[in-house]
Amino acid sequence: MASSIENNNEKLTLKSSDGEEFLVEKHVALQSTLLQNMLDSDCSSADVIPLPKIDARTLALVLGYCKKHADASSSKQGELNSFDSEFLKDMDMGALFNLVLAANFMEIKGLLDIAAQKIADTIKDKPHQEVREIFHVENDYTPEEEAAVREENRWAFEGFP
Amino acid sequence: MSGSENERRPKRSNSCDGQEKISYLPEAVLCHILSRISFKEAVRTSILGTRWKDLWAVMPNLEFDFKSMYYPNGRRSDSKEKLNEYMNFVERGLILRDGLNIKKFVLSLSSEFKDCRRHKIVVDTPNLEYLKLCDHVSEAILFNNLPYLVEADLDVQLPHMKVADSLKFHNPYPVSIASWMALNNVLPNGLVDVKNPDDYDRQFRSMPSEVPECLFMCLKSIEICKFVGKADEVKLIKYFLKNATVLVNMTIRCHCLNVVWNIREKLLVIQDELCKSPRRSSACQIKFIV
Repeated sequence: MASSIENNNEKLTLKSSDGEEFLVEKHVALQSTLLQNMLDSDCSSADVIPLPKIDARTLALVLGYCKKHADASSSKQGELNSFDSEFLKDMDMGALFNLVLAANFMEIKGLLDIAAQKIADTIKDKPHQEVREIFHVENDYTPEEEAAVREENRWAFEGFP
Repeated sequence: MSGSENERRPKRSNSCDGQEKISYLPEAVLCHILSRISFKEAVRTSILGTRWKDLWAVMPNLEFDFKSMYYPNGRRSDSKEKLNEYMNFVERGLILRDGLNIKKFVLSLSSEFKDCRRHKIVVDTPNLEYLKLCDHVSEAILFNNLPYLVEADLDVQLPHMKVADSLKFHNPYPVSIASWMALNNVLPNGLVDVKNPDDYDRQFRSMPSEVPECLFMCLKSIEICKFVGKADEVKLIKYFLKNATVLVNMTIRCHCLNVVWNIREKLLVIQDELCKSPRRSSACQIKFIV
């Protein structure tokens, strides 16, 4: 990792699925394990790195998260925590899903964790009809199949409609 | 779990066709989400649609705990039906996956299951970090591959275990037997396969004279539960203290009925005795909870 400190001012270019390019400081990009591995395995940082799965709007959000976390010193954990909770506040589900996918693809553990947690909180304690509605889950069971699933996992539905 | 399914993504927001389709998320991400709600809630998502049917079984945490699943309010009346239902559920969960991605595994099979089907348990889980096993009925339990195990909480009668950083012995009554059996099987050369309960005591008496280095080099924390001060238990604890080189915490929790049984005085005397007993690890703290 010594090289990453020496070349602290190095920048690299990421390209979103819709063709927008983002110039990113290397230490910010290193928040992503995917990018870190790419850089470690002698991928030249002069090249443009395409991220075909991530659109510009999502990538901008991701990089905002990475920058905050890369720049903050470890002593400011409290500040980071409040940044994290603000970060996802009022985000619509579509954006949140894009974000969780991007975090998963780019291997940014902290971001993946908070996005997954936010989605999990939405599922929590809700009847499944409501969950289906919120997340547009199509119920593709036949009534018989649905009854069978409920029967197999009966303990989990106890006290639930 | 086909690759192509994992590639699918929600459509862009200009699409009216449900940009918020959670079912399009790859399995790994869905598991990540489900592992943040309770196991019960995760199992309940199976009702959402076919994509969700068996998703709970691929999560990194599998927690099969009969009491909390079937008797969350504490009342119990074990019916054959419930025991069977639980066994079916556990079997289905285990059939649906391999051990590769299990990080946390909890399984309870206490003595009420003794008349259910006969089985052996093989735990082959290279990524397991936490294991809680209460098993009084399996014919054999074999632990093959636990390089990352951090904590094990065992209440078992026939375990075969390799190495863990931290062991918690949660003893059924009579206390010393299970803990000693568990210990004996942790020892690399001490693998025993005792079928007859009468053999337990003989095993206990024949403590290894040589210190099994491989165990005592890494064991950092031991917890003994439901301690009642029997000679065997005291011997076991002294054995640990004397031999474990890097032990940091030795926690001894006395049986909660010690006052009722009028053994508190005796326990306090034993506490004193244990605290004076020789310790191989100078960092070792003894926590004695009466």
